Amino acid sequence: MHWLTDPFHFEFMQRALLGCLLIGFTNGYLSAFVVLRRMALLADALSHSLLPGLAVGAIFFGLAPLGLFAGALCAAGMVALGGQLISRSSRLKDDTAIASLYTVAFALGILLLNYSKVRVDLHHFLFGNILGLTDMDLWISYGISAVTLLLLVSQQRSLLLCLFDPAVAKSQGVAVTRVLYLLMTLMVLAMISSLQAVGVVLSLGLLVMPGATIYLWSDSFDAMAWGGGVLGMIGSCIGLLISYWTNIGSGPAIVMVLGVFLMASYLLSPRYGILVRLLRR
Amino acid sequence: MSVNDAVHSLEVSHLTVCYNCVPVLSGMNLNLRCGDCVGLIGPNGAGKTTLLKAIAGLLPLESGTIRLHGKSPQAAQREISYLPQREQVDWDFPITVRGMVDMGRFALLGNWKPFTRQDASIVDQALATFGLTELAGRQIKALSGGQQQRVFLARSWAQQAHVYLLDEPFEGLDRNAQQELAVTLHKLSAEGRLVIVSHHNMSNVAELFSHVILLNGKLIASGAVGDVFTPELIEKAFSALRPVGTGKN
Repeated sequence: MHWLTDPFHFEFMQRALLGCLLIGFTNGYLSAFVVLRRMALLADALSHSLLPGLAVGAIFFGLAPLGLFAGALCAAGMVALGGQLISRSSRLKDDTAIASLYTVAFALGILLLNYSKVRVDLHHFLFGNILGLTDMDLWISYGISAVTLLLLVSQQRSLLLCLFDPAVAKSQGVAVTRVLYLLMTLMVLAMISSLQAVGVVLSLGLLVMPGATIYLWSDSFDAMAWGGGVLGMIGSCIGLLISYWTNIGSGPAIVMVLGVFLMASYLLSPRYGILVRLLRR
Repeated sequence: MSVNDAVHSLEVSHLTVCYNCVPVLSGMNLNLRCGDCVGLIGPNGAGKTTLLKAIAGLLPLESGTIRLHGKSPQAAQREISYLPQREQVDWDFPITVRGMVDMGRFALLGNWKPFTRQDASIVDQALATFGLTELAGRQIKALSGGQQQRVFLARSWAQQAHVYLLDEPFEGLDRNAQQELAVTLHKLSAEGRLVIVSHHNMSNVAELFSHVILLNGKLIASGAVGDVFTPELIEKAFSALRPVGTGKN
């Protein structure tokens, strides 16, 4: 078992493990909501829009985690709200508006990074490196995880009603628009917390695949949410170990592990796997 | 669960509802008594779904008022239950029959009040009332069309709704399931609840409903089925010209 315990003699690996547990669980729990609300493409757009915020944060505050956090949050908020504004004030639909805005934002981010006085590795922002987690990164992750999980659990009834049928939820007095904006905000916060681990491009994987995997196994929402959290943690930790022993990037390793879980479920799940369905025919 | 025997009513006065500034319903006046099982009849685009959604408080009114027991739909939200068309529901949603009926209690409990034994007991009663006890643990997609409609009704019953608004519930059901659903709806109206159903199959209107509303962008007629569901008025409802540009239902 040395292969399992040896890496964690190093302090940076202990921090990375803690980060994996926090980020994996929070994103995995939230993924049930993202999958059922079919927000995966919106999440993809918003994850890419984080880049200009990170660039502006780096220009003004250097690589201080709080500056990067604030920049990323503002950028995602501007793209999300800008998309809504354009779709409501013109004949363009919201997917078109958000897709246009996020690609422009992503391009702007790459341009802005050229003007940052701090030497920034674009590769690091795009694909992450959990081995470089600082104490402040961990504190931000603690904060985001606590706020996200507290709100998701406490608002679960309203969220469930909105996910299942927004019209019926509205007829029962639920403030549907407010609840869905809350979900979008939590999604952005969760993505920001996972930036250091998996980066802008791969953060979507942590936010979609755990819930999608459990969805292929279970007909229970609670199992999907809590199971997604546990799977996110396990996948992140396995990815971390693979990253350590094979010297590949932590982001790709984590996302590949989650991808293997999803593909295995797609094939082998006893309830919704395609192989079982084919064998039953 | 008991329903007050006193006469209640749903009053619709001078109701106009628009989509994109085009009126879909205009100048409607209606007075329905609770305890009726009402059929909402009209051609496609007549405004049946629009009327149901307006009563449920889901659409802004251009003009006019809707009052249930003197209260607006928003103020009477807990008493009104809107049941959408079955094809609008995500039947792959990971939830069991019992979980869906539990949802009927959520509006009353909000996010913070605990789900008590009394709530669980009301859900048990709802399941038993609609013959779903044996199916409580089943995923909602693994039900027949008739059973799915009964789950919707059980959820509304658990909500302790007084007005049931059903959008084309008989669509896609076989003959037996239609008869079962009709018995259930009659039972609800016999308990003093107001049941309003949008419906397009003209062959069974007389056996399903005690009251009929004929609609085509405006009210054509409303009254007891024997008085209103006549060839002349049906012809009038289905031949009346709709204003240009009204495509929504």
